[in-house]
Amino acid sequence: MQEDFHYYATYAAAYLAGFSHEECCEICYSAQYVDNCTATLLSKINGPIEAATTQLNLELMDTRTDIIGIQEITKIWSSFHFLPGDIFATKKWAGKRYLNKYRLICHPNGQLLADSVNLAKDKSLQAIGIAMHVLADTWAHMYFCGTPSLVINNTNYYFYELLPDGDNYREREVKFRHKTSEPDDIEKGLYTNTIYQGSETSVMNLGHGRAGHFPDYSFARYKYMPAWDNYNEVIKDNPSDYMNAFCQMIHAMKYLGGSIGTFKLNHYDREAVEKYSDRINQILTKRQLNASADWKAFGEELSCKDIPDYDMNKYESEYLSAKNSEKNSTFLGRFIKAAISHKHMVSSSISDSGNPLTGIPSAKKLFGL
Amino acid sequence: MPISFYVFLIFYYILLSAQRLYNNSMSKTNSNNKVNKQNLERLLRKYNNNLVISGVGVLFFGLWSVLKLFEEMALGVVDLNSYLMSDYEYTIVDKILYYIFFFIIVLVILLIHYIIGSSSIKVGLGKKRKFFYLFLTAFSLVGVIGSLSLYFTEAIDKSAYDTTIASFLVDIALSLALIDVIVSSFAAIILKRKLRRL
Repeated sequence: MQEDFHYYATYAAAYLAGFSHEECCEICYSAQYVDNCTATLLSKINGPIEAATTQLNLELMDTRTDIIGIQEITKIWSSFHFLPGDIFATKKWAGKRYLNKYRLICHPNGQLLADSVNLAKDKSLQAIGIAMHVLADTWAHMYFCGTPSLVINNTNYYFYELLPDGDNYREREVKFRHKTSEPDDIEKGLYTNTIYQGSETSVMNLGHGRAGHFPDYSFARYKYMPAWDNYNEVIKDNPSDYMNAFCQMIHAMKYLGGSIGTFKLNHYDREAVEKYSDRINQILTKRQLNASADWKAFGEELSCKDIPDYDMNKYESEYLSAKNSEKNSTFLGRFIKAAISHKHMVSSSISDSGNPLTGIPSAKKLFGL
Repeated sequence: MPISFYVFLIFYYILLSAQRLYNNSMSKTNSNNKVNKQNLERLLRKYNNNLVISGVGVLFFGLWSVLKLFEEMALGVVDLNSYLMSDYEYTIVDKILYYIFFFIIVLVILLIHYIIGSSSIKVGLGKKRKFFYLFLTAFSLVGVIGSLSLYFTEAIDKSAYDTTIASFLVDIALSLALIDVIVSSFAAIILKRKLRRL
């Protein structure tokens, strides 16, 4: 997902969940900051590198793709952007090496999502923001995994956009081009994706790069053949998925805010959005590359307050000027603490399941003893 | 055993595979037509994908065959003169004609591979419905399999064992690609007919 959903839509969901304007701003800023907190940024503010929640393209280019490098990449991307749906999934005839990657495929409503939300309970607003980013991405990025893998993340010529045509949809074949310097042209159907690389662990095969930005466009409906699904066709309906993400975020934030007692998977607070569902659907289905303006207008209508524009450097001076003993009480200090905690929880869950892609498990767990 | 026997065996296996596929698709009929249709569509996507991949393979093998010949000529492994001409003295016109004939043969081989490969890719992508390429595929398959026996009958220079083994393996791979084109084409035709009936 992009800034429009992670920042402005999360603000709206937090407000509908009962948080105040100031709390919503902290939550939504933290949710968006997950997409900006790189090792480069952390080294600039003298923060701990292990708190990195994403990686720049340049950092990915420099990362090795041996087992150590793969673990570093997988820890970040699987924890924050491609949360696995079932780390104990099985597949017929699949060897252990394949299964390790298959089990990292992102799906919504997995046990790890419940663990992530519960981890944020009674913690800082920054922890809530991180959990909301992870929750939202489980809907957008489903069917891809947060480790470089050709056999899981690859797509091929069978990729069609479903354009509304009256009551039905017509298919338009998607021909990806490799022009990162130009934005996607949604009218002409010109989209950019990562270049095909035959190497299994190439960073070009990380996440949803092979599907371009389709998973991040709320208006997109498309069908394709995931590499892992035995020639089955997957139809992705982003407007519906994004609505589910929005309703689930409200449910999760009501739990984290104390309004309700438990967080349930497969539970969506549609009552809270009933009054606004037409408006939200209009935003989600509008064909535009960035819906920030629409989501911002919606959020400001809800709270009757101005939502500040997202500024990546807003809290850096506070963190830099704080004494070492006081850094944890700054905004970024709380974010860093929450990020490290979340990353550790997800990575250790995956490695404890016997999967070495986020860390070497004990011999007992590795061999299923 | 004569080569024709092996060719017969291979075609028999291809027809047997196609019949088995047809029987499997028939036996998968159950009361839930939607599930059956989805399964058939999935299989059709699989065989179409096989056609695309094998088509690309045949294209590259064709290019490789020609490239290998020119590389061998350039390195002196193959002497064109000794292949084309005997000890008789030919006129310059004869020699030119022989060379032109040789290059036409090379182009024909390249063209056959191109027609098979590109047609297979287009059929796999659903853009073409012709079947002429299947005859060319069968013709090429016979030629490739027939040429495999030469690896065992001709004397091989000890210093060239490694390249000979590599060439043998490439020819085996080409045979498999051609067989896959035929099997996948027939399977796709059967599945499309089945889907039209549903």
